[in-house]
Amino acid sequence: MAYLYYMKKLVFSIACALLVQTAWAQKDVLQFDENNKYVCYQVIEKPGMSMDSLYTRGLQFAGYFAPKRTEKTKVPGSVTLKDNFVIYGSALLSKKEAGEVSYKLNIDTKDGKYRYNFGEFVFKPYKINRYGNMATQPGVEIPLEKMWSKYSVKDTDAYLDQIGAFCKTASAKLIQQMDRVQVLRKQEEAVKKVATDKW
Amino acid sequence: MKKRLLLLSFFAAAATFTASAQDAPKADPPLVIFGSVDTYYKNDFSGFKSAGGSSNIGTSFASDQNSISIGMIDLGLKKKVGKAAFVGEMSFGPRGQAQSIPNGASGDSYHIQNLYVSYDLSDKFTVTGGYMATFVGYEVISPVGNFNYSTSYLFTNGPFQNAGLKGTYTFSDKASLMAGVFNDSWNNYSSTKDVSTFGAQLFLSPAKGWTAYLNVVSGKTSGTEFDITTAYQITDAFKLGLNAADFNAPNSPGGFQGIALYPQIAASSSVSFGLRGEYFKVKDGGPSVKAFTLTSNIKAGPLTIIPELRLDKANDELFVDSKMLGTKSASQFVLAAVYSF
Repeated sequence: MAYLYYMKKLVFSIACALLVQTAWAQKDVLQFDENNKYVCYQVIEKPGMSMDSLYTRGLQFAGYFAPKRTEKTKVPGSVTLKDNFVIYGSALLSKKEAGEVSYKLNIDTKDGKYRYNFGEFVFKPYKINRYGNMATQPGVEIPLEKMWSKYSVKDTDAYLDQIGAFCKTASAKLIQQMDRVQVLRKQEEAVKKVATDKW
Repeated sequence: MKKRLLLLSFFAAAATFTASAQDAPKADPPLVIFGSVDTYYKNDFSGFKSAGGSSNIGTSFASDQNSISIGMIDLGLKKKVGKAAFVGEMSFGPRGQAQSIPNGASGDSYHIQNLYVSYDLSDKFTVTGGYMATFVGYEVISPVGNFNYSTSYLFTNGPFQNAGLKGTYTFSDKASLMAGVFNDSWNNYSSTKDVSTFGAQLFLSPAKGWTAYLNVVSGKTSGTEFDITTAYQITDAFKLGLNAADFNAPNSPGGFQGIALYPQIAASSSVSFGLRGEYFKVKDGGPSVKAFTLTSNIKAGPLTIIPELRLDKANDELFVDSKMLGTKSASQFVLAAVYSF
């Protein structure tokens, strides 16, 4: 019976380790669309809310998330922004910028629902320049779907994980803005007072 | 026991998410350690080896004849917090010391490649001060920044580094202008007399993948050099670079002129080939040289293996052959390895 007890413990520990591993694999947030392009896409129902309200909230999110990067679209109820973010390569002692990823975010709204779509991911690898800074190489751009052909599986996985993590964080912020969840400010701890004249 | 394991797993998962949250892209970049190591073997086909160990072709680095030699270990640190940044980069070894950096007053060789601070006064305007790699020319001291391992005559005769204060205004991602004042003499940590060299760089990107830098550096002590450096990534596999310069020496009719073309083609994601064709002329009746360098870059992760063949042909007998007689041409083979981190 003691044997069974330890087997159970072992299986449970492996399951927990897998849970942590799953949590780490952020690239699972990314999916392929009908054109075999990487996207992070979700449709969210908001019963009772008008397109105008959702559009206004989407516009506010875009203005906050990527100021100066929001583009005007002719499609009613749609918000588009194009921006980029830096991803890092693995290094023994410190993180090193591997390159930047440009992307496009579309937020489309209708009465009672909205959808968001992160897509058009393009990786622009950095190379160190004469001043010791990492900079993009003009004309060198790799669509995310072709990363496998340029980088090892390990590097590609690491990059996709970071892109997935970015999409996860950004979409959580977007959903929060669309829900307008009131953020309760944490009560700041008052500075303790002491009477130094009474000792 | 189960509860403890469950709690442990929960905290591990929470730690994972927290770690991811800390990687938010808008945060200040972390302290970065970067650098490179390079080593090489060179053989001049004439077999000539000077008393100093070098050979015919006067390339800045890769100078040692029939020798497995070292370039340098280059170590850099950089950090940006908010709008303020610094870069400190130093090197040890022949490439980073005696072959490229000025000696101190007592003959010691310092080895700073970059040591500067910068501050973003606005989204478009940055001020930088310190000792920096020169803004002039196509090639650089670090082997990581060059496709060819041996260097061009234009690089060897131009400035390597300039100490000064410069401001860069970015109009858009297609145009920027840098202007600054620099110490009177190039490649020195301090000025000889004053801070009287003017330098400027106009950056233009006329098309996607095409960059052009129009440079001028001018001063009474060091002379005046006009330089154009441009590169165009025409297709995913083919890149064409060009460097042309005209230098007028101070207080004399001397100087140099030259042009170098750099076509490069990628045969695969790890193998590429490049040719450097250069014409270089010393002014005021000096010699001229045509140099052709065929180089391959074979990449294995951070390691690049660089086999290179070079043929130089001068208008005069600048070189010596195997019998130590004067000759107009020289050729060499180099095999180098560069590791970047």
